[in-house]
Amino acid sequence: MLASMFRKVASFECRYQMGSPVFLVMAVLFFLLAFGNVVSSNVQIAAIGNVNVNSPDAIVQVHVVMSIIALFIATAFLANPAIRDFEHRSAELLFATQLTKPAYLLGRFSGGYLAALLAFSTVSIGMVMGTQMPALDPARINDFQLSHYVYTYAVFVLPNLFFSGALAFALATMSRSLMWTYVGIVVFVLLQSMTQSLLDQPEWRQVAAWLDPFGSAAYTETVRYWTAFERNTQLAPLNGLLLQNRLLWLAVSSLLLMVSYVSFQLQLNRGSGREQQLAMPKARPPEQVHLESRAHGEPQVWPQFFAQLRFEVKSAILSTPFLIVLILAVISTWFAFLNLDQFFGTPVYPLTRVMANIMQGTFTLSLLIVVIYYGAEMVWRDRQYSFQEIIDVTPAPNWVFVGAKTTALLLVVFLLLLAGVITAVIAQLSQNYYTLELKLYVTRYLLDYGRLFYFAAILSIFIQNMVRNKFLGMGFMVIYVVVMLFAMRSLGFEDPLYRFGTRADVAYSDMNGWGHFAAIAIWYAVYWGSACILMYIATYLLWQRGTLQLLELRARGAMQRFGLLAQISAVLALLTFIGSGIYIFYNTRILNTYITAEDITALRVRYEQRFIDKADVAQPRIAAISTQVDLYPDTLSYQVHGRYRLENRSEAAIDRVYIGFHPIAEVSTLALEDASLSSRDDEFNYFEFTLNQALEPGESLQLQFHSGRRQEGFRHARNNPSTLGVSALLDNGTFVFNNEAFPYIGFNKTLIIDDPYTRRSHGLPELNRYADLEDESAYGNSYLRQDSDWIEFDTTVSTRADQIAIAPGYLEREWETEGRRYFHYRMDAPMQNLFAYLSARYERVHTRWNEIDIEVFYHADHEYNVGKMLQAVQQSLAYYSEHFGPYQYRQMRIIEFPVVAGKFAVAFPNTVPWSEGIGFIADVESPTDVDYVFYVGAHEVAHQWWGHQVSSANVQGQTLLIETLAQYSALMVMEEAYGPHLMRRFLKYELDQYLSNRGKESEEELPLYRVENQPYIHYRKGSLAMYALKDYLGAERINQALRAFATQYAYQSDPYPTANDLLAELKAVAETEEETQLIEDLFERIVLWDLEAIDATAQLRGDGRYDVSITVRAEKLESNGIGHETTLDLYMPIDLGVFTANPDDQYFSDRQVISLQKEIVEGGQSTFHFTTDRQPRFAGIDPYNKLIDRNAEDNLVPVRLIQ
Amino acid sequence: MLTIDKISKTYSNGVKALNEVSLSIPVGMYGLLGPNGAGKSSLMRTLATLQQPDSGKISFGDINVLKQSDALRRQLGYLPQDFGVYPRVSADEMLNHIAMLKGFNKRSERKALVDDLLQQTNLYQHRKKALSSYSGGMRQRFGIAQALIGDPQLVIVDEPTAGLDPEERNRFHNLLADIGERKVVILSTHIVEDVADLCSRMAIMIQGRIALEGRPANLMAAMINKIWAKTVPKAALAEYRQQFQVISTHLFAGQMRIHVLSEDPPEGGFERVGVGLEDVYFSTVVRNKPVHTQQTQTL
Repeated sequence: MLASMFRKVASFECRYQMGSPVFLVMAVLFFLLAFGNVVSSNVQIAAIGNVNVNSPDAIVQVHVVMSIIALFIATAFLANPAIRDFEHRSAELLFATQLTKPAYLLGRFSGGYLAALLAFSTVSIGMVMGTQMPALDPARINDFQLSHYVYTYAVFVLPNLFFSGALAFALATMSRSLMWTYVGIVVFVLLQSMTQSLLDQPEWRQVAAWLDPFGSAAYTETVRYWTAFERNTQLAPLNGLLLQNRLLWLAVSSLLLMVSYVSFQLQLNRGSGREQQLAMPKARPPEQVHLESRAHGEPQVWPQFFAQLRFEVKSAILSTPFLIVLILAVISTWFAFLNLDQFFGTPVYPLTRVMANIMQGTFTLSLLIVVIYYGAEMVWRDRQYSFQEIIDVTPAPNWVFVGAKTTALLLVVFLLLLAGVITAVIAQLSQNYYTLELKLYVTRYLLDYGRLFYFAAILSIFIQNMVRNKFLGMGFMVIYVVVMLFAMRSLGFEDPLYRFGTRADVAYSDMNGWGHFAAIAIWYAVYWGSACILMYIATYLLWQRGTLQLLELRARGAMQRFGLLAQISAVLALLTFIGSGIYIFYNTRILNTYITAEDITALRVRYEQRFIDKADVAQPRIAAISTQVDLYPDTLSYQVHGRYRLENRSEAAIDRVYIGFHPIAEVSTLALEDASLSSRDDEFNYFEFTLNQALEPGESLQLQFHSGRRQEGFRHARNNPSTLGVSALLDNGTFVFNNEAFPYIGFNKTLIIDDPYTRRSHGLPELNRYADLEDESAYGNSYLRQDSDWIEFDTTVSTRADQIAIAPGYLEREWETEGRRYFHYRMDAPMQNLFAYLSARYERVHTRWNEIDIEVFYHADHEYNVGKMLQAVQQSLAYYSEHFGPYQYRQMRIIEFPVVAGKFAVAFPNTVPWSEGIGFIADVESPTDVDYVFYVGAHEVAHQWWGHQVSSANVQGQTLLIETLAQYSALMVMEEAYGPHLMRRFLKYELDQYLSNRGKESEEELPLYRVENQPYIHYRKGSLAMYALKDYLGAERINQALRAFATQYAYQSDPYPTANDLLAELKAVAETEEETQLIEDLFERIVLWDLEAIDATAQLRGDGRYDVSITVRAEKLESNGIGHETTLDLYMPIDLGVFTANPDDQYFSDRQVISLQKEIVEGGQSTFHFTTDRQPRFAGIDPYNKLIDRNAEDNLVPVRLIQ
Repeated sequence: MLTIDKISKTYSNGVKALNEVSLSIPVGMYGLLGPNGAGKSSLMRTLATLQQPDSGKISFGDINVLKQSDALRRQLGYLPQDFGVYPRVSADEMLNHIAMLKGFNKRSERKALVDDLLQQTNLYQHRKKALSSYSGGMRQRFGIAQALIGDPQLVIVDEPTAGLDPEERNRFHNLLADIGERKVVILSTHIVEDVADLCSRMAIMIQGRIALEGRPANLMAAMINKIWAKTVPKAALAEYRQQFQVISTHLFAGQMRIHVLSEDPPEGGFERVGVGLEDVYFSTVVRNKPVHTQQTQTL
C-alpha cells in the first residue's frame, strides 16, 4: 500500500517535472555545455589542462562542475514539489486525501530527484556524442569506457544531486517559500565559494577538501600531483580524503532530508488566529463622518518622485535578501583583504589599486544578484502584493514610478558598492595604511567597475517592463549575463559595441594612472549610457500601468505620452549613441585593425607557413647595434633610427638576406649596403634583399633602418599592452622592447604557435621546437636568438623633458634640446642582443659597492622596498663575485615599470626592469614570510652571470644554464641573509608548484638537463634539485664547479655551452658513486622519492636519556615523460630528524632540533634507533623536504612516549 | 455625472468582456450587479483608468476619461476587488504614501488628512500596526480609507463586502451610504442584498452587456404578480425546470423552494410571493442565458 502509493507519487512527480519547460531548457543547456566542452576549445567548463577530452579525469571534472551548476536546477526540481501545493493553494485538497506523509514526501523527493538526474544525464550524452565528432583531434580521445561514467555517477553525480536536492527540499519545506529557498541557496553558494577560496593555502587544503559538499576539492587534492598519464588512464581511488568527504556529505544530505521530513506537516497551520489579537473597535456612527475637502491645486510631482524613491529604496535595503547579500559581500571582501597574498604566501601593502581589484572579484556576483533580483522586485512588487491597482489610480504620472524605481535600483547598486569601499578603507586603516586614494575608489570602483551594474540595472528594469512575468524577465537577465558578458567573447564575438554594457579593456597602474585609457572608458560609458537613456525612455513610454497589456496596446498609449521633453531627450540620446558608436567604430575598425583572438592565431599560422623555410638558411649575424630612439609618451609613439653591422659567421657565402620587423611596427626606410630589395611582404613587414655581391664568410655589411610604432586611437580589445604582448606606450612608464621596431634576420621563432592542439587543428606539422641536446649542429646558435651572438651596443634615447629614459649601457652624456631630454648610453663589453628602453618620471636612490654603482629608479609612491632592493643587489653582487667570478659591469640598475606592461622582472645587461605589480609593494616586514623582493632581486642579479656572461646553446636543456643556475644563486644569497628555515618555506612552495604543474604538462615532462623552456622544470624543479645537491655535496664544491664553468664558458659563442658541459663540471666535484648517482637522478632522469614516517616512539632510560625509534618507508621512483612510474632501487643517505617541536611551526628554530643526520636508507620499511638527551616530540625522514618527495606532508610523525 | 458611451473590450484570448456598454451614472450610490465573469470588474477597471477599452467614450463631468486619465485620477477613489499589502508597512505609512502620490505634498495637511481618515474608518488606534496583521474587515476599511484620500468625486468600489462578517458589512454600508450622498459612487457586487440596501440606481450586467438598468424600486414594481413560489422535492427539480421558467432555487429547512417567473399563475400549487430585488436579478440572469444553467444562491 505504502510502496505503491510512493511509486505513484514519485512517478507522477517525475513526469510532472519532465513536462516543465525548466526540464527541457536544462537538458538542452547541459547537453550543449558538455558537448561544447569536448568539441570546442572556446567552451571550458573545467580546467582539464592537456589531458584527453574524455579521460577519466576530464569526465569526473566536467561532471563535478556541472553537478555544482545543477544545484540551481535541483532547487527548481526539488523545492517546487515541497511547496507547490501551498503556492497553488491545492494543499487542502491534497491533504484531505488518504495520502500518508512518507509516501507524499519521499515520493515527491524521489520523483524530483529522478527528474533532476534525467536532465543531468544529458551531460554524459553530450560528452559521449562530442567525442564522436570527426573534427576532433584523435590523439586527444580515449576509447569509450562505461566504467568511467559509472564511477563518476556513483561517486559524484548521485551524491551531489542528492545533497543539492536535500538542501533545497529542506529549505523549501521549512520556509514554504520559493524566494527564501533561493535566498538560502545563494547564501550557501556564497559561503561555499568563500570558504573554498579562503582555504586555498596548502596548509588548509585538507580542511577545504572535507568542507566541499561536492567533493571537488577532495578530488583535486587526491589527484593534485597526478601526471597526464595517470589522469588519462586512472580513476581516483575511493579512499582517504575522497571517501571521508563522500561519506560525510552523504550523512549531511540524509540529515537534511530527515530534517525536512520531521518539519513537514501534512496540514495547514497558517491562517486565522491573528484577528483575535486586534479587537474590533466600535464603528463611529456615520453622522460623525465628514470628509476633508480637497486642499490642493495642480500638484507638484517632484515630491511624489522622492516619496516613491524613498519607498522603493526602503523596501529594498530593509529587505532580508539585500542585507544577506550585503553582509556576505562585505565579509568575503574583508577576508580577501586580510589575505593579500601574491607570491610564496607573502602579502602586499593594501594599495587602493589592489583593494579595488579584490573587490571586483568578491562583489560581482552580489551585484548581479541585486540587479536581477531587485530589478524584478521593483517592477513587479506592487503586482506581487496585489497593490498595483491602488497605486496605479493615483494621479502620479508614469515617470514618477519609472524614475523612482530606476533611481532606487541604481542607488541600491551604489550603496552596495559604497559598502565595499567602506570595508576596504577600514581594512586599510586597520593595517595602519593611510594612503587612501579616495579619488581612485571613485573612478576605478564606483564609476568604472560600477558602470556595468548601473547599466545592467536599467536593462533589468527595461526587460522586466517588457515581459509579462518576472521570472521570464529574470531569465532574460541571466541569459544576458551568461551570453553577453561571458560566452560571446570566448566564441569570437569580441566587439563591445554589440555586447551591452561592456567596453574595450583599459588598464590602470599606479605609475601611469588612467593615462590615455580614461578616454576609452569614457567613450564606452557615453555609448552605453546613452543606450540606457533610450531604454529608460522606452520604459517610461511603455510603462505597465493598470491591467497587464500586450506590448502593442501599450505602444499605442505610448505615443500619447511621448511629450516634448521625452522627444528631445530621446533624440539627443540617440544622436549621442550613434555619434559615440561611430567614434568607437572609427577607432576600433578604421584606425586599428579589428582582430580577434582567432585572427591572431591565424596570423601566426600564416607567418609560419610563409616564412618557415627561411629558418635554416644561412644568414649573417648582428654584430653591432647603434641606434637613436625617440620616445613620445604624449602621442604614444616612438621612432627608431638604427644601424646594424651584419657579419657572415657561417662557412658559406650569402647572397640573400631576409629581414623582418614585428607586424605591428611601421617601417619607413630600410637599406642594406650593396644590396637591392627583391621582395617585400607588408603584412608581416618582411623584406628580402639580394646582395649585389655574395657576402663571404667573415665579411660585414651595414643595415640602416628607420622605423617606429604609434598607437592610434584604441582597439576593441587587448589595449593592455601585456595582453597583446607588445611594448607599453604610456604617458608615464613607457617600456619598449627590442622586438618590435628593431629588425631581426631570418625567421622569428617567437611567432610560432607551440600548443600542439592548436597546431594540429590549423594543419601545421608537428613541432620539434628544440634540437636534441646532442645535436651539435645547433651548438652555434644562442638560446636567445639565432641572428645574434655577443654584440656591441651604443644608443641615444630621447624623451619628454620631465622624464628619465634608460637603456642598457653606461650613461655617456645627458643633454636637453628643444624641450626634449637626451641620454647617450654605451656598453663597453660584449652583450646579448637583448635590450629595452624605459621612460618615466622616476625617483632615484643610489649606493655603491666595491666601485659598482647600484641604483633603483622607482615611482615616488613605491619606496617601501627600495632599500631592500639595493641590499639584495649588493649582497648578490658580493656572493656571486666571490663564488662565481667577477661582475662584468660597473653599474647595476633596477627600474620600475607599470603593472600594465606585465607582472615580471627581467634581466637586461646591467639593467633590470621590474614591474610595480611585484615586489615594489610587497609587505615583507614579517620575519616569517618569504622575502620574495630579496629573492627576485638576487635572481635577476644572478642573470648577469647566468645569461649575460654564460650563454647557452639553442638545444634542449638551455634554460638549465640560465634559470636553474639563477635560482640556485638566489637561494644561496637568501640562505645567507635569512637562514635555512625560510628556505624550507620557500622550497615547499617550489615543490608544490613542481608537482602540480607536471600534471598539467601538455607534451612531455623532460629531465632537467633536457628541459625545453618549461618553467615548472627549470625554475621549480631546478631549485629543488640544486638545493638537494648542495645539501649532499656542500655549497663549497658546487660553487667551485660553477666558478669553473663560468670561467671556461664566459662569452663563448660557437659552440655555446650545453647542459652536458655543466653536468661535467658538477660530476667533476662528486667524490663518491652515490654523489654521481644523485646528480644523475636529479638532472638526467625524472626521479621522485616517496618518503614517509610511519611511527616514532621514545622510551625514558634509567640515565634520563631517551631511546628513540623511527619507522619509515622509503621508495625511489622513476617517471617517464607522461608520468608512468617504475620503482628504482633505493640506497642512499637521507636525513633523519628528531625535534622538540614541529619543524612546520612558524617559529621553529635550531634550538628545537635534537638530532638531524643522514643515515643510509634502503627501499621499503625500515626502523632507525637514536638515543637523545631531551624528550623528543616529533621525528621523521627528510623532515626539511630536501628531496623531491611525492608527498611532502607525511614525512613527520609525533613521537609516542612508551612507559 | 459619469457617462459611459458604447465601450467595448475584447481580450487577446477572444473573450468579449465589454460589449457596447452605455450607462449614465448620476450622483448617489449606483449598484452594478452581475454573475462572476459578467464583465463588472473589466468595467470597473476601465472606469478607474486601469485599462483602455477598444472603443467607446467615457466622460466624467468635463473630463474625457480615456484621454485625460490623470485628470480623472485626481478625482478618483478606487477600492479594488482584491488587494494585498506590503509586509512591514503600517496603515499610517501606507496612507501617507498614497496621499503623497495623490498630491498632498504638505506634511501637516497630509497628516491631518490621514488621521481623519483613520478616525473615520476606526483604524486610528491600529495605525502603527503592520497592515499584514490586519483582519479582513480592517483591511477592507483601510481600503476605503485610501480610496477616500483627497475627497474624490468618483468613488468606485469593487466587491467590497466579500469575506466580511455581517457586522463588518453593516458598518461598511453605513460608511458607503454616507459618501454616496454627495458623490458618484459605483458599487460592483454579486450580492443582491448590498444593492438593495444601498443603491438608488442599479444596472445588471451579463456577458459584457447591460441587461437591465433602473431604480431598484421601479424594477421590482415591474415584476409584481409575476413571481411564484413552491416547495418541491429535490428529485422533481429537473421536471419543474422543463415545465416552468425557474429563476431561483433555495434550500430552505432541507426542502427545495423554487421561484418561477410567469405572467399568469402557473398550475400546480404555486403561491404568489412578494418581489425581491433578487427575483429581478435572477430573472434577468435567466432570461439572458442562452444555455440554461443551474443557479443556486444560498443565503
